[in-house]
Amino acid sequence: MNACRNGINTGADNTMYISSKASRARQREAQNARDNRAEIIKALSIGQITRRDLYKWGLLTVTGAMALKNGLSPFASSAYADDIPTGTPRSPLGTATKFSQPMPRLALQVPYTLTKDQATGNAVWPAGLGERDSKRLSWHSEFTNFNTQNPGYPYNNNPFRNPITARGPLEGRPPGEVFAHQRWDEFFPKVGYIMSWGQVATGTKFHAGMTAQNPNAIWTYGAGRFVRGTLPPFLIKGRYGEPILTRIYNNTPLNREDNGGFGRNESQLHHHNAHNGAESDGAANVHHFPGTFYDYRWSTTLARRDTINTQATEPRASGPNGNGGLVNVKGDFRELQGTLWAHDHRFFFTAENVYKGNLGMVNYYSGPDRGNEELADGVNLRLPSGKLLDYGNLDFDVNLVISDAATSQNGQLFFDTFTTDGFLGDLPLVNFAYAPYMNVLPRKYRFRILNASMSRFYRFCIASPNNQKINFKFIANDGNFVVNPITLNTLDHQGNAERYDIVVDFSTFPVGSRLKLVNLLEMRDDGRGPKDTLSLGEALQGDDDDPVIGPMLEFRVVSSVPSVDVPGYTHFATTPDNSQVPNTLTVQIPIVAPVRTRLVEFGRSGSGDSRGPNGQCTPDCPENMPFPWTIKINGQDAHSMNANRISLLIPQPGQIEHWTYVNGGGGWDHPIHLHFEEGITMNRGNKPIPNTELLVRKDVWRLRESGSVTFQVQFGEYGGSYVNHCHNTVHEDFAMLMRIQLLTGVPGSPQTAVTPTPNPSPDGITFTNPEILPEGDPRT
Amino acid sequence: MNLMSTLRLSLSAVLAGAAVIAAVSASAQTAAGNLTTATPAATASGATVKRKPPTSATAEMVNEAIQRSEARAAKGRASGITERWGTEEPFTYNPAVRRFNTDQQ
Repeated sequence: MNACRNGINTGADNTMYISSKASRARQREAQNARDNRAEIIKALSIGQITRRDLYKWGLLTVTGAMALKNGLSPFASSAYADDIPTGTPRSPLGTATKFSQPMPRLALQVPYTLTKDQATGNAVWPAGLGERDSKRLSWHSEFTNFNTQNPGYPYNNNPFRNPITARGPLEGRPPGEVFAHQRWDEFFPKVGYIMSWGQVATGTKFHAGMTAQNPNAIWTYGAGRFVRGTLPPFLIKGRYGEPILTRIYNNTPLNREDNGGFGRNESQLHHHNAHNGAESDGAANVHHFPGTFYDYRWSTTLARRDTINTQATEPRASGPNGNGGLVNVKGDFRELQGTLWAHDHRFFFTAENVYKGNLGMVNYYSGPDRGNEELADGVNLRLPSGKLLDYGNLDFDVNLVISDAATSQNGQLFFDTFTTDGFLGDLPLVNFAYAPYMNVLPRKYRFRILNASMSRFYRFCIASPNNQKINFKFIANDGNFVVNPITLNTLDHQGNAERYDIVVDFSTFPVGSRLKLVNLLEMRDDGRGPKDTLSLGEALQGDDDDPVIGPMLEFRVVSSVPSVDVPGYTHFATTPDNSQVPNTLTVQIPIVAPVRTRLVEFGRSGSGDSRGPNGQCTPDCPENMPFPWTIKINGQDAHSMNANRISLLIPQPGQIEHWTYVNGGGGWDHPIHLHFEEGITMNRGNKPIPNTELLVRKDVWRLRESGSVTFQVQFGEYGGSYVNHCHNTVHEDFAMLMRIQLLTGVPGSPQTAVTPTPNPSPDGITFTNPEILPEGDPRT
Repeated sequence: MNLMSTLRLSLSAVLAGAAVIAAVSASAQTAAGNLTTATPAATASGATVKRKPPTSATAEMVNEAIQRSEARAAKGRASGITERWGTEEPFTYNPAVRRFNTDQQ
């Protein structure tokens, strides 16, 4: 491949991964380089050396990147050929081959019913679980109060302390009203989930022919308290009108160095991009520690509930009641959300933790998007899904978590923490399985495609058995319906965290046919963004330098499939497909004159200022971590991430703003994610807007090379501290992220004022008063 | 592989003769016509106070930002060198060149 197709030299004349046809000498050379890097990463993680040592030894550049030296960097010239890079060794496949294992469906979680204790107002878990109640205020409050009333901590046997470490509170949520669950009684949780994040179960593999992962190679979620994690990732089915309490236990190792070489044993779980209070958004600088839990209340609030449809009379603003009917909710049905996900957001370590397995998906069901393809009540759109359950059928509604990974030569998951540009893997994964196949019936299917990669973008099409692109219908972008389905044969670029919902009709293909989901997109070697779109023919041939180009998933048309909704039930090809894809899915929200406009530039200006006068980051970050990625507001000075700095402040609920994001740099792309609210995409500068974006609600926008995007946004219902950042999580960690402060809580709530910054530690939370950038504060 | 032996053996050879990438440090410079920068203003007493920066953006500001980004991309193409660190290059903003079409939506 030619690394200079776009005219930018990416620092190498070839791709990052060396060809499998390379000489043994070159492969040894590449492996040595990776081993050296891994050795240094490990030494850093256990404090054997510091980044300062690396600077001193000349092994680290001021950008924080590993010096371009043979024996260290995949981009350094090979000793065997001056003009080609060392490269990175390919991940060993063992006996695995593509399309030789069935695709696992995501691990559906089973909810518990919660009841309300009328005396305390607490949510009570089923008795057999032995769980403490979930409360409006954090258990941290009890921990603090007990210490105040019973001096002598840590020897006072505080019953509210971390049960594993006996140090600090048992709940990671900060104490006091600022981190109380907003609108608790109004959105009292009716169901709950108990999950633990920790070492992966013994024997977990990406493919039966590959090496089993060590417990600390992958940290993912498992159902229950202090249990091991499992793959594939979790799936939670939510519905409007049924608030959820998700209790997450941190079951990772107590010692930071027990991390398999990368990953931080602290987490805050971001429910991307659900409409929740800041205390449950998972990005308010409230990571918690091993041994503790955090109660996230996922409210299922429909946006604009305080201003639109306040009597809950609009039937499209609703959720399924479980018995064929609907529960109306307040709010604007045009703001309904569907395909969501959840992932770690520990600032400065998000890429490592998400890559390591801290993620899952959440589908929200509503009156129109019922997950039942036959129930005809005039509200339900009857999209492909199934019919055996009242709502949330998954038989023909399939979540696809797309990602790329790499392993070291011993087969263990590998991540290069020295890259500040991006990380590309060479293993194509679907639901964390290596290039699987999926049996499908000759009928319509809905696919919810999530790009869960750290830096890799994708561009998908579906190849027919005779290698032609087939048409499909695009129905939702980032979980938001487009007004009218759009017929395509190739998706747009799909950046990190973007979700595309499509409907594929396999009915024209006879049983025995095989089709493929094909990635056409060639990435820049440095991971900064996409390069070229290949033709289907080129992509199908595969790319020896980048095995994630080409087919990633094979669809096999079969005559029957077992139900995943009702185990033991079998669906047959002869069963009529009564699902529909209506011509109208929702109603357009109009573009109106804004109260104000904002300009946000994402680039590499200056040297970053994440550290305070004391030299520390907020929250803590690796020693001498560099901050090459920065953000500017309204043309003012550039800043890198600091959780104690507010870059944008939203003064009131309901005000409509127009924001323009500009890619401040030259040759790369940034997928920018806005937490909490979606924006209606209006403008791409002087460049065209694809139909899949034009006037469509989104929460992640790819800026494109030298590109811009303008969207309309409105905040409401909840307030507090949220963030806005690049979702190339490597850029995010280094530290292209800013805090936004929403003074949009209900009147009288703490969130109508600027909230203090929580500073988590194993001993508990302390608060500081944040700095506010004047260019981001429109008050007076 | 032992770290120190790594550093002594494989990396010591590497260190010799290898060029360390120099950081490019440049301050932001924009030409006249930049409508976005808050500049210090002199008071009657001679003291300097910082004017409150704009809290709402204009189409001009967006236009300039896009032109600046395009200038960097053009420089990258011309030089063949990827922007590495804080490289804000001087460029001349031309208000007559419209890169931001407010009528697109």
